[in-house]
Amino acid sequence: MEQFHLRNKKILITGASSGIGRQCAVTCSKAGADIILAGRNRLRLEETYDMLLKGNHQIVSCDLTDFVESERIIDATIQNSGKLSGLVHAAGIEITIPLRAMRFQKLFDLLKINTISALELSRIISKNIYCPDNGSSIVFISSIMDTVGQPGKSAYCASKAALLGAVRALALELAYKKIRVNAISPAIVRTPLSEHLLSSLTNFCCKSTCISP
Amino acid sequence: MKRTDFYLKLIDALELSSDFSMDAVTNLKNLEEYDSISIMSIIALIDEYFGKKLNANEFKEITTVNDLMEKIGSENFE
Repeated sequence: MEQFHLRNKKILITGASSGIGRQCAVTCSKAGADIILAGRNRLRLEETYDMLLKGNHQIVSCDLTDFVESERIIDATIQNSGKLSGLVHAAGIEITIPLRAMRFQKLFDLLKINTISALELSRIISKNIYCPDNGSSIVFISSIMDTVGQPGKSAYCASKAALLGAVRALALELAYKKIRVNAISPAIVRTPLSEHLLSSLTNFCCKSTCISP
Repeated sequence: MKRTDFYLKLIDALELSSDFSMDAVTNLKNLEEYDSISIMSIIALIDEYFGKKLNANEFKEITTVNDLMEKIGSENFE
């Protein structure tokens, strides 16, 4: 029986400069995929690049919340490198702010990267010209917070729950193109960020309050 | 920031009544409203107005409003 592999697949991974996105890139490269690493911080993307198993990988440094510019960059990248077999949208931010201290600009910023960019990227990569005949796969890295709640997390929970809603509709809408759409909702994942937070928490802020992907 | 403006923002973050009399020696730990949600709100307030990110650990050593202002940096207040 042949083992699972991703040979001859090109996968765009956002948020690839750290944490879950970085690990997805490494794991997909080990399965044989060519990776397009997308994120804001070029230096950290280069660190991820160096961790990948050899392949035809690329770095795309862009601000995914600048929707016009990021579409232009991703369009150009795909046109140069060929059709995409998959997208992993791991880019996102997490904020813990009680409602009383919330400001609308923070809410906008959070929704732009966690939610709107996921839909924008899905729109771009599901264009017929970019989608292989044998279909592709879109995976959103959501969070357990898309289902459960915690004090101070209303904005974050809303941004991730919106992804779940979008996934159900997109999966139906894009099925005719053989594009599968799924979300993964992890709980605590050991990343440098969560390690730092775990080490700083005290009784003032119970350990489950600040950690989520 | 003027100290009096900071006191007003703290009153807001702690959801104290608007006529609460706050000053530098107000003991935060004696306030019933000083709970984990309030601390998260104060952390957000400090980030928003002073660009400084405190973590919950640092609040262990903060008792009075003056302690908090010193933690933020007294040069930020007039």
